[in-house]
Amino acid sequence: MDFLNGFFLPPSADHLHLTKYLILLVYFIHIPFVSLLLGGTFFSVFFRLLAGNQRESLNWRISRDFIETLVFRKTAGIILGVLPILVLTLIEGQVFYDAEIYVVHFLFYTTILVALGITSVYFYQSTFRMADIHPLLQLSSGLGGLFLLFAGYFVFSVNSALILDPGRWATVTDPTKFLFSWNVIARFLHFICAAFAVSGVALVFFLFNWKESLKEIDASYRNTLLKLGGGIGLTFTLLQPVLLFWNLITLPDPALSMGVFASTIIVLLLILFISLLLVRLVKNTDFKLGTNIFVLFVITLVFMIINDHLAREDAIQNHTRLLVIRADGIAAEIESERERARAASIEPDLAVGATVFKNQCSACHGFEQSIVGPPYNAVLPKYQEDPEKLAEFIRNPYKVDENYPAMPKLGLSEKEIKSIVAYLLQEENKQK
Amino acid sequence: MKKGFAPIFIAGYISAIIVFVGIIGFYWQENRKTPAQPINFSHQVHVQKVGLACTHCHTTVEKSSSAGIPSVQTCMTCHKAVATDKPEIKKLTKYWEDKQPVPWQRVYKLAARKYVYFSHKRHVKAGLECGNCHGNVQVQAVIKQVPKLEMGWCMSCHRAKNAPIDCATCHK
Repeated sequence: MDFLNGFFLPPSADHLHLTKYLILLVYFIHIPFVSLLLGGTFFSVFFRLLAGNQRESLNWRISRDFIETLVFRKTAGIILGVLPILVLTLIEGQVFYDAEIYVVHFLFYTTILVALGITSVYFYQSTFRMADIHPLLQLSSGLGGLFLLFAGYFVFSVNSALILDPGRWATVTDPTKFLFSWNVIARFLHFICAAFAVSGVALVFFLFNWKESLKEIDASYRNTLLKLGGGIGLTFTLLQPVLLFWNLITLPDPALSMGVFASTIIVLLLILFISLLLVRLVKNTDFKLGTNIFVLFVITLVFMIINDHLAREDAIQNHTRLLVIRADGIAAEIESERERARAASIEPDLAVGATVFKNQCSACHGFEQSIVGPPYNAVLPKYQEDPEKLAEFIRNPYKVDENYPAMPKLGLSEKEIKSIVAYLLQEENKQK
Repeated sequence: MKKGFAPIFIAGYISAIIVFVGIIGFYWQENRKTPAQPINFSHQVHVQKVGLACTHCHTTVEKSSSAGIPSVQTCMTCHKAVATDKPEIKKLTKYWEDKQPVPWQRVYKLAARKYVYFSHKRHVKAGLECGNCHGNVQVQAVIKQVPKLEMGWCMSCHRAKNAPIDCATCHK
């Protein structure tokens, strides 16, 4: 992680605030696209296997419609598929600046796996437009792409689960050590189920809304697709409540908040509503319902992403606060550098010095007696010749005497420091 | 499936899960409260603002198995003079004058305390930072247990750092 930190700047508070929304944006762009990609490829390969080598069969037609309808063209694959994960890698590098967590490594693996997977899926898609293709080549590209995508999003799930568990950041150094945590499995299965459900519904939505040519398809095939899309949608929607519940009860404690519980309930209510509509769609083969359900699905996905984001914000809040403090420290250092440059012209003011002594120093120091710190008469004489040394000590105090606690940094301005030094040395002289 | 049966089944199933989530949420809300402390002590103020090191107050962490909750005397080295007008410090002074210890409530608990021997000294000597297990206390106004302190968690770190993983290392 150390060498990677070299690529990133320590983020400021505003910067961190911005990354929060950037991450949400990246998820909103990436997750719906990749859900369709994953579901479309899975069902296409499934029906392609059922079809055997019969190009004219119903299964072949379904397989082709899945991959042609749900997997967008190549530019979309780069813009919506690969690019967002790369952007996410850079953002997470900033958010987890100097944390003992291997987020960037995991996202790097994900990027490679997903990029290879998407390439393979596009090749698989193009084989349906080729007149002559070896069936083994076609199937292996589909299956290979699917495997790479599954692997990629499994590593992604490992990463998201690890972010939620700050107690383990320092100890989990490679994904295989964290593979079989219940939360990872719940998270991964839920992602797959949501992707499959949205793909089933999207097939109905896209076929009957956007593809003009398909409006001419015969009634029996239309009904088959409606029942199939609706059935897939319903099955995988009904699995989701259990997985959401599983995910919730396996979330590590730092990730929980009332917001997470509330948004889980909102998602479950949406799922309930969608399921009831899907039952009607499957029973009545009413394709107009498909549009409503698809819109509801998109809303549900948004809520799921927000739900996950809330958990994440809870889990990393201590780390974020630490970064903000660090950024403030750097800003303060720059400011004090500037002030020191100006300081050459600053004249000490004994009245200011007296005020600082009264408000701050006198709580711990007296001239004669020791309070929290040592008496001034014992420590000031050595600074009479070198006032700048005393000023430096006040700027950055350190422990001198074992018998007293270390003096804290007081956060005084340069004017106040010069004034208090002048005031103390003058008072010390008077005591003699 | 008969007409009308499926929607009822689905509604019942999802509603049941919603109710479960609600119950767990309620239970969690009730149990998450960190134990109420007799004095509102803030690690954030002492570590972040004043800049004290952990060992300044937890003096036995390098010498003993326990890190040591600071005595009232330790607090009073500074608070005889510092911030004496604050209500929380007045409470502290009262304990001091009554010669009573502050009844601090334990926050960090090993999941199986009875069966585990844990030594702070060993872990500090091995070069661990306090924050590795206790999180960033400098940003916590109220201290909270960060990791669950379960065996799997201990083991993952022992493996990662090549520390002994014999049973007898911790279970004496």
